[in-house]
This record gives sequence, structure tokens and C-alpha cells, in this order.
Amino acid sequence: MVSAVLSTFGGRVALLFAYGFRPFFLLAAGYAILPILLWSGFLLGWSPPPTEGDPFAWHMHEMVYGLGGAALAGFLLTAVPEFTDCTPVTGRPLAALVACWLAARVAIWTAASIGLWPAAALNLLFLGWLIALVAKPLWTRAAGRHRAFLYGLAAIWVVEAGIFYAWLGGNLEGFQWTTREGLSTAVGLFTILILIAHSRISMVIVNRTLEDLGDTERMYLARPPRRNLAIFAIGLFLVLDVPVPGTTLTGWVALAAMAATLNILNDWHLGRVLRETYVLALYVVLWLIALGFGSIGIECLTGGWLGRGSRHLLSTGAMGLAILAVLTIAGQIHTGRTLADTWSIRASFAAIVLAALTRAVPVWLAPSAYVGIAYGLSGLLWTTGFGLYLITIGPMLLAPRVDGEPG
Amino acid sequence: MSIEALTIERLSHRFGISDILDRVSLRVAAGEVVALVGPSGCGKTTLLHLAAGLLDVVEGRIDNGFDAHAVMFQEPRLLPWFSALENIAWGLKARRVERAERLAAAFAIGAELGLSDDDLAKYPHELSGGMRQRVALARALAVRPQLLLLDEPFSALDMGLRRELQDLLIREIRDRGLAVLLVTHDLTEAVRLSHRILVMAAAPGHIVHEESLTADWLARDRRFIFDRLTALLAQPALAETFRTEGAPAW
Amino acid sequence: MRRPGEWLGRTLAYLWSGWGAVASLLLFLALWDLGNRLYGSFILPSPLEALGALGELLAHGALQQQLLATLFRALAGFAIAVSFGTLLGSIAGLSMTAAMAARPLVTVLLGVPPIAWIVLALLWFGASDGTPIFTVAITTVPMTFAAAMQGARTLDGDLRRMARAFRAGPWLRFTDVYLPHILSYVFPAWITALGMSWKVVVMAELLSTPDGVGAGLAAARINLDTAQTLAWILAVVGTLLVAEYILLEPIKRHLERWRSDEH
Repeated sequence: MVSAVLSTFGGRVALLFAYGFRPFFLLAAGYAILPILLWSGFLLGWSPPPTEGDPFAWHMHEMVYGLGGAALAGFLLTAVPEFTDCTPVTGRPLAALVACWLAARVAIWTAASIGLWPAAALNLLFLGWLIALVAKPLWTRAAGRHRAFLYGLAAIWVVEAGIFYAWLGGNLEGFQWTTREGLSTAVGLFTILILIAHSRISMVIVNRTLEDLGDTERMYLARPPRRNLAIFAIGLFLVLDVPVPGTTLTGWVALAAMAATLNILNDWHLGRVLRETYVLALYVVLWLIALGFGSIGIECLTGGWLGRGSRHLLSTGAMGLAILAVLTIAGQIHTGRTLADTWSIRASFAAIVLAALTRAVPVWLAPSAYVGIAYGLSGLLWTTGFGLYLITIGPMLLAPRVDGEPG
Repeated sequence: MSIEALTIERLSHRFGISDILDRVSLRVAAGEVVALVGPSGCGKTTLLHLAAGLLDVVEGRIDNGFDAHAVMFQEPRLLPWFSALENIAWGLKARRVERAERLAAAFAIGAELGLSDDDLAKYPHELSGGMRQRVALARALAVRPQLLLLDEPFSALDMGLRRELQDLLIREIRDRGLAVLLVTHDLTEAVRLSHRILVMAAAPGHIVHEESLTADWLARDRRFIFDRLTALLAQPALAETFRTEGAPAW
Repeated sequence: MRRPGEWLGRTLAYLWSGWGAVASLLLFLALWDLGNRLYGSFILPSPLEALGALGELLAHGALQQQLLATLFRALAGFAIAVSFGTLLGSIAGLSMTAAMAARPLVTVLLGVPPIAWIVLALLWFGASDGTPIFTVAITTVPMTFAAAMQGARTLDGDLRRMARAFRAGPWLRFTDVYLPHILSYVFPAWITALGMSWKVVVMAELLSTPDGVGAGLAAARINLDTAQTLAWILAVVGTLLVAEYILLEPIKRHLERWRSDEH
């Protein structure tokens, strides 16, 4: 089927749609950069807001559902065929899905003139379509193990619907639930998806690295009870965050989510293997999740001491690093390569972590005059991270597999 | 100082009202392996315990002219709270040898008996039965004895392991020129290992037959062992002694 | 054989494994907070209010002072249980006759509820340190006694003969053969006894003494100060948790590493 597609289209365009990760990883990395450049310009007062309406909601939505959606699509369309042994989505159907994602972005950017309805419809269509493509194999072929992922995806779709309902002026009776709160919930749901996907990726990466180091005694095992406790605590936090946000009740649960995430790290303390780039990147993702929920917990218990900026530890930090790590790992493996450990890859990971820290921490410590500089620096680091990705891994996504296999 | 030999003269022993040993005499010279065989309850273990000083001699005389002796039991009897290495060194600890010195000695002898560094670091409950008995043998050899007193040392092991450990023991006996008093009910073992076999009968225990085996250990192949066993069992005294137990354990 | 780095690593790994427990404790605090939202601060003050009251007690110095008084009494009683109970139990275990005679006695002593001892102690010692110390000792001595007796009864004769065959002196036989065995029986009993002492001492103080945590609890009850009551409870439970997981559990692991499969 892949060869048929190649002969019809020919050239690079056909190659681009030879496998789900190729177009979506490119789009994700590119879309990580462009809106952030505009957003940083706005935050620093250099340029007008990118759209009319609530610019914060716009920024959050495009990062979570725009970037996150593209990364999710690339990951799912590549990982699901591998986990469940089903036929991958390639060629025309893949191109159509990509077109849908692009249309959704255009609709958001032009919402000021054409209204929010097209954006709502296209965004929900894209996510729904993606879920429909992976639902069947995840539900039937994976012996229940991957169904948790499906529940998470469904929740993300429902929250997206709620976000547009609120954005369009709808009011959910009794809740102070605005677009921004909805987007915070979505970030939380993404961290749950990350925890699930993370354990499967780590089983491969960490054990392979242990083998490379010649460590035969130790083995990495992602223990489900530890992960499930963390998922339970995060889920409980997200549920409570809707009716009673910012209260001590929610705060204790956020701290529990932090402790439960730190508890997962028990699986990871296997000595020297932690110093290897990819293992370290995956390990730091968990730390960022823990720090994120920890600072949210302190914020709730102290009545806003740390400020909401600390939520960037989850979005910029955990989500950003997890996305970049998946893009880097899958981008190399699925083009037939082994994982390279170059300075540019290390620098790209480090840049994302620093971007999250500069965005979150100065708000706690520094006088407000310096916070603007931190915002600018954070944006610069973030674009550097994904820029390095486009330079090092980008060309691989546009070239055939080096081992001559299809895909 | 007396001559280097274990001499037992007219040794008798009783527990309560039952006579266990009746005027037993024997001698183990330096470098000589003597096996005591006989049915259960013939007093051979009691004799060994008397020789080891674990029981007090009441009647008769035991003259142990060796500087040092060591005992090995049917079970390994390792201290469960010490690692294999510390167990091997324990006999030396009882002799007040410095820690560094006794651990080095234990390490060397452990390696000699095929115990890896990993095995030596383990606690007894983490070792297999054969490994534990190896540790016990190493502990006995670590005190550099001239006389080994062995009380059915390999009878709890399966055939393959038993032969392996017997070979190890033969090597050590030869290299160190050890004198051995071996108590066993396994005639094959006695034929494989010893220079002399003393057959005991029960109630009360006394020696009924003595058999000398002069062939070198290397020459003792299956054929040799089979022939000697057959010859031994043809002896009326032996057939009588072992009848109570049915077929001998070979 | 064992590198110092390995010890540090194991200690860190042990401490880190506590996050799971912390997570479930924090979820419990959330549940407590929910109770506070439903029933109000008079019935159930929030965790933060209780912690605030605890901080206040700490700032006044009352907490340290009362905790020290309580700690002294509990440890005094516990020390009696550890020394006398273990020693007498070991001796009793060496003699068949003594063990036979002691067993029903232990059952009777363990069966008497601590509150009954408190009443007797009040009659004998009045409102002095003697009452809580006596109560703690009399409730915990049977535990250590029984464990030590059991340990001494089960000494392995084979190992004893092995030690004699290697001509080990009496001191070496005691430290290397008898003691580790008896300790493995006695140590878990000590941990149980310590937990028991801590609970019993507070109860005895509540009824008998003018100071200590128990007295603090009594005062909080009279003032209908629920937050302070909870603060005292937090202090008692916190101290016990620290003692058990930072002090005793690592010692226990170290002493019993020959039994576990990972070491």
C-alpha cells in the first residue's frame, strides 16, 4: 500500500505522508515556535495581541490543543500500529487529517473576522477524527491495557467541547468555569496521558540503555500501582479543581499528586543509567510534573503565594519536554536510526527545561520589573529547543528510512 | 607432644541404660583416610563426637596427637546471620585470628573450592544445598587442620553433587596430606575415599571387620568400586551387619 | 566487601520509598479537609488549623516541654521492658521449667487492660511520674519477656555443637551464636512495645499527671479547643512515625538483612 502511494504521488510530498509521525512531528515543532514568538512579542509589549478576544485563552489553547494535538496525532498514528499490530494511517487519509488540523489553526487565527464557530467545529472534528482512527485498535486489539489511553483522549475531547462552549459565551451553571480553567484541566489530562505513554516508552529506552551500559543485574520496571496512584491523585485534583479551585482541599490533593509522582521515581533510581541523555530527559519529565503539582498545592494552601505562573512547570515543562522527547525518539527510531546523543539534542532538551524554570520560578522570587525579561528569555529558550529539533531531526522526517524499510 | 595420630583404645560409652560403644579401638595415622561404616544406631556418630571432644570420654582413652582438627557435619550448620565468607572465616575467629587475615584466608579457600565472589557475599539462605556444604567444607579446611572428622558430610546431597564434593575432598586430602575419620553409611563413598574401612555392628557398637584399600584415588574407577563393593558384601560379617538395612546405599 | 556509597544509596532509596506513604497521608489530609468543610471548624478543624495550633504550641515552647516529659516517662517504662523483660525472658527460656511456669503468667499479664493498671498505679503512686512509668512497664514487660523466652527456647542445638567443635569461647558463642538469634525474636517485640509505651503513657498522663502530652490533651478538652486537641494528636503520632521509620525500621533492616532476599 505504501509503495502504491509512492508511485501515485512521487517525490517528497508522498514521502511526507508515508507515516503519521512525519507530517505531524514537523507541524508540531514548527507550531511550537511561531505562536510563541508572537506571544512573547505581545507579553513584552512589542506587538499587538495575535488575535482579538482573550489573548491568554488563545495562547493556552494553541499550545495545548494546537501543538499538543499535532504531537498527539503523530505519536498515536505511529505508536498504535506498533502496539496493536494494525494497519497504519498513511497517504490520502493522513493528508486529509493534516489538512483538518491546518484548517483548525487557520480558523482560530481568523476567528476575529469569521467568528469562533468554525474554529470550534474544526478543532472538535480533528480530535474526534483522530480518536476514531485509533479507537478501534486500542479498544479491541490491546487486551484492555491501552484502554486507559482512550478514556484520557475522550476526556480531552469533552473538555475541548466545554472550552468552546465557554468561549462562545456559554455559562456552566454554578461553576466559575471559563475557557482558561478548561485549558488548565486539559493540561492536567495531558499529564495523565504522558504518564501512561511515558511508562511504555521508558520500558524500552531505559532497558535498552542499561543493556548498552552492560548492566545486566538491574532492570527497569514501570510498576503499575505506583503509576496508578499518581494518575488517581492527578485525576482527583482535576475533578476538584472545577467546583472548588484554589481551596485547601484541592491543595492537599495537588500535594498528594506531587508525592505520588515522586514515588514513581523509585522505579528509576538504577544508578549510572540516569546520566544518559534520553533516560535523563524522560526522568526530568516526571520531576517537572511533581514540581508542577507541588507548586499548585502550595499556591492553594497559601492562598496564591506562588502565583499561577507555576502551572507552566506542567505545560511548558512536563508537556513541552515530553513532546520534544517523543518527537526526538520516535523521529529517529521510525526513520530506521539508532538514538544519537549529540550536543544539539542535549541542548534542545536542556532549553525546554530552562524555559519552564525561567517562566515559573522568577514569578515567585523576582520583583515584577524583571519578570518581563524572564518571559522573553523563556520564549527564546523554548523556540531554541524546538528550533534545534527542526534543524537536527527535521531533515530526517523528509527523507526515506535509512534502513530501506517502508514507512 | 605425642606422635601425630588419633589413637582410640578400648573406648566404651553409654547413654542412660543403653550401651552405645563397647571397647572400640582404632588408629588414624597422619595422611590416612579411615571410614567407619555400619547401620544406623551402631554408635559411629557417637564415636566421632567423642573424638571431636563434643562428648566426654567416660571409659577408655582417646589420644589425639594432631595439632588441629576440624569437624564437618551432615548439615552445613552455617550461622545464618553471617555471609558465606564470614562463615568460612568463623573457625579462625574462634582461634582469635585477626579479621583481615582470616577474611583473606577464607577468601582464598573459598576460591579453591569453587565459590565465586558473588557466592561469598551471599547469606546462607541465598545459597543452594551444595553451595552451603561447600562453605561448610571450606570452614573446616580454613583452620588448617591435620585431622578432619567428617560425620556423613554429603549424605543430604543428590548423587551428582555428592560425587563432585567427594572429588573436591579427595583433592584437598591429597594436597594437604590430611588424616580423615569419615563416618558414613554409604559404602560407595567409603570405597571411593578411604585407605581403610572399619565395619561396625550395633548394640553395643563394636568393630567387626577391617578392609584395606591401597589403590591410588585416581585408579578407583567404576570397575574398581564395583569389584570392591561386591567383595566387601561377600564378607559374612558385613552381610550380617547390613542385613538390617536391606540393600546398601550405592 | 560493601562500599560506603552503596550504604548511602540504600539509605536514600529507603527514604525515597516513603513518597508513596506521603502521598496516601496527603490524600488523608484532603479527606480531613473535606470533613472540615462539611462540619465546620468547631467539630473538626482543618489540617491547616491543627498545624497552626501545633505551631503555636511549638512557639510557646509548651510542645517541646510536654513532649520531653512524656518522652522521658515512655522511655523509662520502655527501658524497663527492654532490659528486664528481655533478660528475664532469655533466662526463663533456657530453663524448661521456668518457661513452663512463666507462660500462663505472661498470658494473664497481657490480658489485663492498660486502663486497669492505671487505676492501680494511681492508688500506689498518685499523681507522680511513677504512675505512667509503672503502667508502661507493666504493659510492655510481658511482650519483651515472651519474645525473649521464645528466642532462647528455639536456640539451635546443632549450631551450639558446631561452635563447640570449633572451640569457640563463651563470649564468641554469646555474641555470634546466641545473641543474633535472640535479637531476631526480640527486636520486633521491642518495636511493638515502643508503640505501646507511647500510647499507654499518653493515656496514663491524661488521668494522672499535671504535665505531659496527656495533660495537654486534658486541658484542650476542658477548653473545648478541638484544634489544640488535634495538634497534640499530630505531635504524638508524628513523633512515633519518626521514631519508627527513621530510627527503628532501618536498624531492623540492618539486623535482619540475612533473612531478606534483597540486601
